[in-house]
Amino acid sequence: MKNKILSTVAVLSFLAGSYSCNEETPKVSLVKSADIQLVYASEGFSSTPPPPAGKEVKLRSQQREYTVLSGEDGIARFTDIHPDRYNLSVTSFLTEEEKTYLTEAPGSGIKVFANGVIGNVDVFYDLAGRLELNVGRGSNILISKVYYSGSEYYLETARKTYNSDQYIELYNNSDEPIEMENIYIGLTDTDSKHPFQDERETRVYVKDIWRFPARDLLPGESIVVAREGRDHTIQSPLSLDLSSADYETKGTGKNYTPNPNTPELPIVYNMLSTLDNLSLLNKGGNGIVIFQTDEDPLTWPTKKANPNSAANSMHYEVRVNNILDAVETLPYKNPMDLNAKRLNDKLDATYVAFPSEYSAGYKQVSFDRKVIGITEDGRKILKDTNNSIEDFVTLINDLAIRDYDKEELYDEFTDDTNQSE
Amino acid sequence: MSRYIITFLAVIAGVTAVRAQGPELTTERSRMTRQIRELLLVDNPWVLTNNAAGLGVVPVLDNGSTSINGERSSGDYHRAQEGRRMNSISFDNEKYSKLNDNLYLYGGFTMEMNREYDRAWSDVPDTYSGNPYYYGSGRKGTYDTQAYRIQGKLASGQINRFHFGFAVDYNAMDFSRIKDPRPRNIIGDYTLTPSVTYALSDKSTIGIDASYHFRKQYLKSITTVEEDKYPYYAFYGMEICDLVQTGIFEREFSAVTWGGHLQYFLNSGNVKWLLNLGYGEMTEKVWQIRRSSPGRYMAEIYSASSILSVKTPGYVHSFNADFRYFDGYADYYLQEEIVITDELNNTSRWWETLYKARTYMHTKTQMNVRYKLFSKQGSDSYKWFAGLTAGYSAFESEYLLPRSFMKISQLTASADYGRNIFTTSKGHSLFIDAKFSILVPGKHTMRLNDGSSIIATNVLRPDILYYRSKAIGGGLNAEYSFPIRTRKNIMTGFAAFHGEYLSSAYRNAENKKTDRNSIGLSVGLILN
Repeated sequence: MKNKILSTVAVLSFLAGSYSCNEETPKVSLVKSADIQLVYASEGFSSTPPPPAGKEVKLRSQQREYTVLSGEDGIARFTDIHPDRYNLSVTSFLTEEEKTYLTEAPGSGIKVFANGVIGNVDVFYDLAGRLELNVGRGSNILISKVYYSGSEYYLETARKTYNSDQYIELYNNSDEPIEMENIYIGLTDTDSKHPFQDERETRVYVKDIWRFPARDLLPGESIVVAREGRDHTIQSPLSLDLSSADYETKGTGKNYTPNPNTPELPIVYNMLSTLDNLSLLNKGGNGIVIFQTDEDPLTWPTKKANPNSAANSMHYEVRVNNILDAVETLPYKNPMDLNAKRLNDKLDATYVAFPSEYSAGYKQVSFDRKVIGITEDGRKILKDTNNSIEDFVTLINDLAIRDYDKEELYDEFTDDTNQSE
Repeated sequence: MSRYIITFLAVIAGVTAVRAQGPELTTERSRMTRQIRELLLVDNPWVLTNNAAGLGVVPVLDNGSTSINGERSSGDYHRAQEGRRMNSISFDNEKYSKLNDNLYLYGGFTMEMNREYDRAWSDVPDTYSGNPYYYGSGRKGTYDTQAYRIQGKLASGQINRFHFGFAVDYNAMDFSRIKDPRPRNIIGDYTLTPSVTYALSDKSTIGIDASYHFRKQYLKSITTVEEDKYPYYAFYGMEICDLVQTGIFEREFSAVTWGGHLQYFLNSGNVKWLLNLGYGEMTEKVWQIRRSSPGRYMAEIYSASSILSVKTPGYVHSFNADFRYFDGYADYYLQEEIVITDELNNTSRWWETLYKARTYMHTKTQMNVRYKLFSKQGSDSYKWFAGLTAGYSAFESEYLLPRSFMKISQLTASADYGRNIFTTSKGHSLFIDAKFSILVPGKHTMRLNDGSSIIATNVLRPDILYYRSKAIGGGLNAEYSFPIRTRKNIMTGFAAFHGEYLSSAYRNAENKKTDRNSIGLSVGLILN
């Protein structure tokens, strides 16, 4: 009998031992090294330039950021990295020497950016990678400010939210006037299933299109397009006065309150008749594109988000070559969901998104483009590297339009008053 | 499963109730009192184990108790995640019963309602379980608890030197904050413990029990969080936390513990000794919004206890020692949501774990030694008792990257004495006992990577001051008991008052010395 008991105990011990043999999870530790080899993409160069040296390379996650300069061999060497999923990016300008390798050498003083980005780089263990830098010049017309979070206010003690105050601001970043007649604003699809992912390298699908009336946009001048061009501080004190906006989108919905004194930005197409105004998702999720064409966009191909759906979900195709500038807005996630991007990496290598604590919206959060220089005649030169994380700053409770003197915009100001375009 | 458990418990409760009405034990001579009952239980060490079969090894005379208890405690001597004041009321009922020579039963039922005031930084009832993935509000609030516990044990008579047993323990709890953002936790758990004993000889018995414990806790509802008005935090261990985004927070825990104990029991009549060795392993999964997971928590639990009672002509000696070591660790998950849409436009979503690593460790050690001497009165009761207790407890919490840790140890000692003041000829009696206790801090070390974080400031720093403070206190319990006769039965009724006071060197935020006091009242019956 004793043997039976001992056998039973042995079996139970074995079972307990088997159960306890859980997969052992390693203790967390810093990643000792992540070496990133920078190379220039061949496109745009007539001969092979030297390795990109002295370029600022960033690893950025939701919680942390690391920055190093690439060495003479073009390798950026990161050490002691917290394991996380990062975006790897380079936002830089070619040196005068590097510009001599370009197929079309620009004049002296003209900035040529060299950017590269790879999203979702998992730095969990030692890493060796490669990042290709594309070169190019910025757009003349830029999306310079974006505000879609909406605001909050209190009615007695009850918290109310408000998003009729959304706006987009465009800016002429060149030294030449821009004729606006054939320029359009488009908002990309917001379908949660990302139906047009496979085509984003060559085209963007938009659900709403507005066309600018004929006018010249002078160098350093901006255009404010408001959802409702009126004083929103009357209802929501933390909001802003948009009664001086250049245009409003003149919606017809029952909750839309147009200002008869604000000119209309004519709508060309809107997918949902109930949302015929500048209605941006207040947590992010819209791609905003500025495009130019002599054609009628309504003659361009269309596509439904869901081909089997009978619902009216037709989106118009906009070819990437027609796009002058674009900004991706994404809702906050940890890690960020780069698969939700509507725009390819050349249009916008990254995105703008609220900080986590503001991610639910209605917190007066706006994105303003950085100022990197001032010309002799006082015109602000805005940063344009097609990398929104680098190009924009996030402002809280500072919604003012047409204001390029905000202190936060000048963190990268070079104090070079003799810049050219 | 719960339907079977409830049916099983209902049967036990019914059998127990029927048995309690039996006429054969209802004489004046056999009236059960608290003192008789305590010695009965001291004489059977199996009742302190999870091994239900042990109830058949040393059969316990029918006994039980039922009581309603109210208590109020308050004072600033408390940890940062505990409330300043608590009012509670409970209903306790338990009964040991021998159905026949082949079946022994135990049934217990407890219902408890608490209201805790001025509590913050923890919206879970088991704040100190070691799981780092808890959460809490930065604003003080009032919390309500409703808890129910049903226990049942069943033991067979001897079958070829074997006794077989089975135990069920079911708990349900509702723990909610009654101020915004009003999180409400629903907790349910049950434990199933089959067991067996085998008599090696007339004096020696060995036993084994194996248990399966399942616990589920989920945050049922939360109103919109507003960071500036109702800051809400999700914890990751030590000072690491996230400020919860507006309007978005969910969390659910699902824990399974497998475990078991081995027992050796020596019974030489007047000396009974039981050695109980246990091991358990817990895995607790943690879920959050849309079934993503921030990580998991696991623990191994080692326990050992020695339960000894010695009867001499004039005294009963009870000497118990127990040891418990809890080794917990948490893994962190970095996850990515995968969204796939098929050709029919159906969307599937799931989370893939990109990276996991052990980020947090938590160990706890507890040791207690208790000696209690009873001076016998008659054959089955006692006139007075005197007791000494010493305890050591320690814990260590560590977050690995960046490294922050806290190491705490404490020593406690207490002495208590109680005696029967009088017993009238009609059986009315007054029993008073008093207790003196002291707490001495041991090791208390804390190193924080981010000493200015909100958790460091509001929780960890006040707690380290709490743990390094001496405390001294005492308590008094007075119980008046009397017989209650019915036509077929006689029981003991009682009314008891207790009060406790603890003074500490711990200074609160206003730099004032702190204390804690509690008073309570119980009325109830001791059952045959």
